[in-house]
Amino acid sequence: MSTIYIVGSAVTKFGELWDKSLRDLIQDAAFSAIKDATLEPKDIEAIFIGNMAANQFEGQSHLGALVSSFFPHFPPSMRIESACASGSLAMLTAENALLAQRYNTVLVIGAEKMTDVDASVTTDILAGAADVEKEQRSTFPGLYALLAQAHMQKFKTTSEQLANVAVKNHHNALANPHAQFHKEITVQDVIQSPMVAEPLHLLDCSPISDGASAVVLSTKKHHSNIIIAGTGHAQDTLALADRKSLTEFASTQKAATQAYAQANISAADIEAAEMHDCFTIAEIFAVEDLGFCKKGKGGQYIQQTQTRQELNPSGGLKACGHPVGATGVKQIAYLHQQMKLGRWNVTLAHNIGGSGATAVVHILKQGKNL
Amino acid sequence: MKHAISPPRYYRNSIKWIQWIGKTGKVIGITTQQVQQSNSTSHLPLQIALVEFEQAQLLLPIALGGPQITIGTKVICTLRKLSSTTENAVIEYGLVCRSC
Repeated sequence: MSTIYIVGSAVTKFGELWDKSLRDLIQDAAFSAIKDATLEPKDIEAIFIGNMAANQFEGQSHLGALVSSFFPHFPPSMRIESACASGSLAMLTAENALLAQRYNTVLVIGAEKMTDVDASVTTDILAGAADVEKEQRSTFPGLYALLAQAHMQKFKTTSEQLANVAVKNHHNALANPHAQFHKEITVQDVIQSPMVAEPLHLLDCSPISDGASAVVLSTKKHHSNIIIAGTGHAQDTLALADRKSLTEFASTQKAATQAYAQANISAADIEAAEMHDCFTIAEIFAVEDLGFCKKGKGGQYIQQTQTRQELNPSGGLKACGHPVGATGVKQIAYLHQQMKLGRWNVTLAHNIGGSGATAVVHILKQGKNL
Repeated sequence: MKHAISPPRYYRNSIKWIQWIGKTGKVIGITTQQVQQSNSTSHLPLQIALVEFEQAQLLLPIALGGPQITIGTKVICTLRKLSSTTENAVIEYGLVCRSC
């Protein structure tokens, strides 16, 4: 099987970017990634763009063609949608095209422009990532609140442990210039912030963000020694009410098992992990389901000052921001940029769609002998 | 005011209500939402319960004005008016649960 190299990457600033259009963000990320790869736009053979709802946020329903039109040779281009996992599924689609030897070098973009509409409209659009829950008036914070309550009841996880996830990720984001927030917060700040859906406070929730990210993938090494070493993709019921368990994401567990096996490593080998912390409880689920700690111990594990892995070093979705379609690609772009600097050799990216209906795990490796 | 569900979809949902009305179940999860969808006219805060019925689990809003519901409370599925004004001139009803 061919090896897939990450040869370039870029991430725009994440945040409320009123002066940037979706088009601006995509162009910024795409051409910066191509430049990072020391390639020319004409070297891109195909484009895969992850995006959840440009048709609803922006009225743009032909995103693939829009992105292709930025290039002088109009490369084949397609949009991939899987709610908040749109970016990582765009990655997987691109990787499959490379492994099928259809192309040698492709561009993967993740993008979302969310702040041009009222926040309640955004809440409504994001609720479209669920099923009948939307008609039953539930919001995504409401669904994750139910998951948090189930975890708290079964494992005695506390509000302070949830808050600690936000505190850690806000601290990590201080070192990330692209992050939406550069502000330290305390456990008390989180617990005293307004309640959104009990037990989740405002500061337990990731923000509404604009942003884009891009990576260039190739079956040719170019100058890179960073590869996609393993991938996993799994699904679960779309409706939360149909789940067998409310204290774990079976999709994450399955995707992680696939990715570890393909990369021939275990959870203990991961040095840094970018995880899907759309709400603080989601990172607690992630550290357990990815096998970083025992089931039910996620809150305690994250509370440790020194964990085996660096957890959401970018600031995660919570503090770096969560432009939904961009997130899965941003996780990999961020890890790629840090690995180029020699920070880690084996890393993991974990991206969730909905309340665990879709899970995608990527493992990145680097080494001189790859 | 935008309607939460299009009238044809509302009709398709409504013909399934009869399967659930009068069924009793147990609350296994509950939250209180302080934020709602843009097209919802529900009162806030809105309590949502995950209810375990004999046939399946269902996520349901909790009817206003009844006794307090917590995890473990036995509830009955019933029909309530969910909103009173829509631009489609539909008075929207839907399934909710209340203590029994």
